[in-house]
Amino acid sequence: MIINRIRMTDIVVCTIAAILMLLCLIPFLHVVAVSFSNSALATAGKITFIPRGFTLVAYDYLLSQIVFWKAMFVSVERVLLGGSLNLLLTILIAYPLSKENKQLHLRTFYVWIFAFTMLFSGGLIPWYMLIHKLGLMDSIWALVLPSAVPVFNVIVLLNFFRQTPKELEESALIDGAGHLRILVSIYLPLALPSLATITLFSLVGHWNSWFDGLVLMNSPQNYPLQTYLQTVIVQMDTSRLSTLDAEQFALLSDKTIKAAQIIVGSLPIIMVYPFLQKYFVKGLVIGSVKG
Amino acid sequence: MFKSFVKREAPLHLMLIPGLALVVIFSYLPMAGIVIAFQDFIPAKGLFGNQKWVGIENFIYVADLPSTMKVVMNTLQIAIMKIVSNLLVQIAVALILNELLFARFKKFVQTIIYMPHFLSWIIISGMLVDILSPSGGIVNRLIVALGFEPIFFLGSNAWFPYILVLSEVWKGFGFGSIIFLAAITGIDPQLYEAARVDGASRLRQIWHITLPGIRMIIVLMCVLSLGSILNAGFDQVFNLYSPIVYDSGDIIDTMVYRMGVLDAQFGVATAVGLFQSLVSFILISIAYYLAYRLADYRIF
Amino acid sequence: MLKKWGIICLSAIMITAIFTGCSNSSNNTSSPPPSNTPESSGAVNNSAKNEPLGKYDPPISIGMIRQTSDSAEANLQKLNTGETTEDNRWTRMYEEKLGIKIKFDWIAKGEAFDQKRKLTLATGDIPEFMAVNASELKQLYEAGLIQDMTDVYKNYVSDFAKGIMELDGSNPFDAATFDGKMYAIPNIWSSYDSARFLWIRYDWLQNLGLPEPETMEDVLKISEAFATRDPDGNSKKDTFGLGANRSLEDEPGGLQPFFNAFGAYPEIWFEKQGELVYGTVQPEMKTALLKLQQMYKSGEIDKEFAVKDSAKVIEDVASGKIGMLFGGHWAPFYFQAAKDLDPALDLRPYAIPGMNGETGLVQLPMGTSSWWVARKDAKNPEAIMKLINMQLEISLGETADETFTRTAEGLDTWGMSPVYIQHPEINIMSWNAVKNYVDKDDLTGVDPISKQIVKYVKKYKEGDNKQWSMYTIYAPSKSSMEVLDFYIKNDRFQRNMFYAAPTPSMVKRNETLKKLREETFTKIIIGDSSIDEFDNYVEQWKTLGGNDIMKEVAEWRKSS
Repeated sequence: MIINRIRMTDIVVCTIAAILMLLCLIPFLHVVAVSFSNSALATAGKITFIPRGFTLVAYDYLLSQIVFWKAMFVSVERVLLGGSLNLLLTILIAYPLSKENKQLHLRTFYVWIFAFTMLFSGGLIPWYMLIHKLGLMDSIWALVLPSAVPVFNVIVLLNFFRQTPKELEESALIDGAGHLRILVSIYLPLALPSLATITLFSLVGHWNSWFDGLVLMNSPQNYPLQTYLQTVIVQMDTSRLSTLDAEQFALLSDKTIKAAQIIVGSLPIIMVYPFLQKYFVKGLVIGSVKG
Repeated sequence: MFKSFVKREAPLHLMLIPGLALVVIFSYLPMAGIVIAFQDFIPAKGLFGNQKWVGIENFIYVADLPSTMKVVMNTLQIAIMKIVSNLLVQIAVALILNELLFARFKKFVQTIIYMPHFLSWIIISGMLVDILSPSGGIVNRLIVALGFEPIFFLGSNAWFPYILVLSEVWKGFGFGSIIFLAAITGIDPQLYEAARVDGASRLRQIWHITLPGIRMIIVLMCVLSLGSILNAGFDQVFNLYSPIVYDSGDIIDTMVYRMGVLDAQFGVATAVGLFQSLVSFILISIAYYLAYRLADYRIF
Repeated sequence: MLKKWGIICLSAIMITAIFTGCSNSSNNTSSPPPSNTPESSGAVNNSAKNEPLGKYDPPISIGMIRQTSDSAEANLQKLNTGETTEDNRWTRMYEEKLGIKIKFDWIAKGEAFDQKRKLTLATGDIPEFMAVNASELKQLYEAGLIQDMTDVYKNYVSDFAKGIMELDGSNPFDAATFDGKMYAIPNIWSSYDSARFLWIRYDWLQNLGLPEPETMEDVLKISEAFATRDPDGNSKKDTFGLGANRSLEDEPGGLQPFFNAFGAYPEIWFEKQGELVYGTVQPEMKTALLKLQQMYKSGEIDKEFAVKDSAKVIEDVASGKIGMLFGGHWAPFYFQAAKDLDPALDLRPYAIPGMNGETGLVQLPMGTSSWWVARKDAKNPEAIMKLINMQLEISLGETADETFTRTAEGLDTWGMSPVYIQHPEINIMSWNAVKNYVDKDDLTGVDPISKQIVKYVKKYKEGDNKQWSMYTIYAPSKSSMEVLDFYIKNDRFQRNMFYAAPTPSMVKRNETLKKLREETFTKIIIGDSSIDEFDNYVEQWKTLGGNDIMKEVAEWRKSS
């Protein structure tokens, strides 16, 4: 009887999961189909889920642009550098802030200093001016430093850190361990799922970010990938087109190229997630106390 | 005494220093620019140029615009619906995924459902126009097959906000459920064992073990989402709205955008941004305080 | 005629330049000539650098910013000559011929350029020379950050350049004039380029046995026929009478020219009984709106037009749903896909007709929308004028060099120049070149820009269907250029008589008024509001800011 019921729930759950998957996959299938299709058919909106007039022209054009690869390189550099910096800082900040107020004086004050920055901002102009004055323009640091402290991630991680059993820390302290040791050998291993989560957030954030690249780089050669893609998928002011321009414009507003750009621009980061999923291990915390 | 302080607390303070320094430089220094909200800011003169101070005139200008009241109401309505729907769906999806037995399948599903997060609203809006088209779109073909009249979703003030909410939930639930999945991993598997032995059904297990187990994260996400209570999603609305649905779909950010079309209106835009920040700040502070007083829990 | 005078003047200038250049080098042995002393020995000591195309010796370095585009980058890559946006044949030529070395503060692509330019302005860090829009120009002038360029233009413009730049009238220059002085050099762009046409599928006209339209009434009949009589013969009711874009101005599909046919000119200012009036609130708009309302109701206009942008309109043309719509002269580029899918497609341009026997006028904004300014501390403000002189000379002048417009393989090189003035009549010139040379093999005597066009048209005639768009624009007959020529010869334009920066009230009230207009018009067309709502709209427009705006425009008119 019980076995039957379990099977029933399983089927329901699997079906729901399958439906959700389909809902999310279908638009992508459409975009992929367009990217491999004949341009005229794509413009006429005649592609649904299967490529028609199969061709690799769009990818060929896109991947042969040297600037595209340069931009890809900048993005990878940015993601690795920014991601590591984010992770390091998030851990360093979340750990102290996860302690009780009596363990860390001014804790509430500190945490609000950080939280405040999530809510208030001086706007685009002072931000741009500052980075300019600091001489960071056109360098990878302009893309990495301003967002070096991801306060949202810090708050998430500090909440996860709080779930670490106090007994572990206390026994370590008795053994004479310093905070750094406690952090590295107790907190971090137990917080793997949340670390994976904030790492993912940080990597995705850096990968998707395009506006800072737009205004902080002095040359299109230094654009990260999304900025590069953004400046191609733009609507030109058609009143200023000369005939020679219009021809190029028609080519570049080609739906198949835009579709290829989307696929190429999101595939790398989509593939990162499965690698982080293995850190979502259950029961880490409890197992540790028992041992 | 001092020695123990040095051993116990000093390292903690030290750990905070790099973060504090970065935040002071990159967040607090630029914050000085908030003064633009109180100026009749002319870009050409520059930030430290001879700008004219106008006090709260920018705020009054916006408040006096005929559509401001409606726009703020729309923003609140849409934002609240989104916050609530997002939370419910993301938690539900996390719970459902947690029940999947086959690890490989689970990972696969997780990856697929998180993909829409990476599509831009420009693309999605193009697709939605086709899907929701009253003359041949999939959804309406279904509706007609069921015997009803076709509905012009994107052109109807009654439906438009729901389309906004639904499409946003669809786009973000995969990505948003990740944090809840992470939280679920922290629950003691033995609790489930014990419950199973006691004969509790899956549903009861979820209700009595899983949900309470991730209670903290749920509360956290609720409170943090208050931060976007006046931010209904510019990119999405901008790409999907049209004059027919301004009545229900026009939000604060699209209105500010239109103000800047002829000539950059930095003063006014900063004023509106300041207003949005203040409201978020007040709400989060209240929530923080309430959580502390009532449940002795500091949200952050 | 123009060419002859241009040649004479240019030769005179060059001869003078050579002579003064010679005498300058002989003077170099004496004590260093202070270039800033106008009293010393007149023209002999004032070196060639004071001539419109004179070279700076020693060379000077100036600062600019630069916009590039994806097509420009793609071209550079295809050229494979190692040229870049900062260092290419044009910049090298400027350095070699004018002694001007250009340093770029920054370069941005596409939309990034405008964003970054706005931020750069706001941080007060403007480059030595830059092109700005009308609002920014006004702000920079009021902030005292730019130089008076009146004399720069007067003294340094070459006759050839002057002849070209002033072809679009004095408005672009007036727009940069404050207090009687000109504070920028207009970045001249053709106004004619913005003219709109009515594009109709001739193959559908033939299928239904309909004649080409002469009046707007004919057009309305065609619209009804396209919507009801199955012009594509597929027995499905899937065609519209008139394509429509959700925005008035965007094209293809924007309905602005529809209003023109009724004598209404939305969003521009023109003269009525001695005063400047705002087109959007004139009674003629009401008549046009009523007609649109009827057309929507009868299904001639797509019921979903309000949510469809240009991309969707293009899609509908390509899938055979639209047979008639408004668009610019280059619209065929958007329809190439449609042509590829349906070779029978024959879209032809027609002049906007009028109603009730009136002549249809097409509204025309000013083509120039940016102006070159020189920072207050720029030591050689005339450098920008020289660059312009040289660019026009190399593009179209006597010493024009084809490789600076396009390579023999057909790759664009004109875009490499950081400065580019468009000859206001270049497209008509190209069309004339096609008329005279398309059947000839020897193209000498044709200017480099037009030469390219002639080659494209020839290719189409030889069977290259990919050039259908070029052909439809520049063919001797049945092309957009033929219609444009007709417009120009008959002055079928209603120009925008307000061409200054937006007035304070315009800026403050724009959001409200624009929203009001969009909502009112859309609701009227789709039938949610009655046509009389238009009168309410006019009243509201006045009280919500229109009155202030009208006052400011009248003041501007008096003072300019």
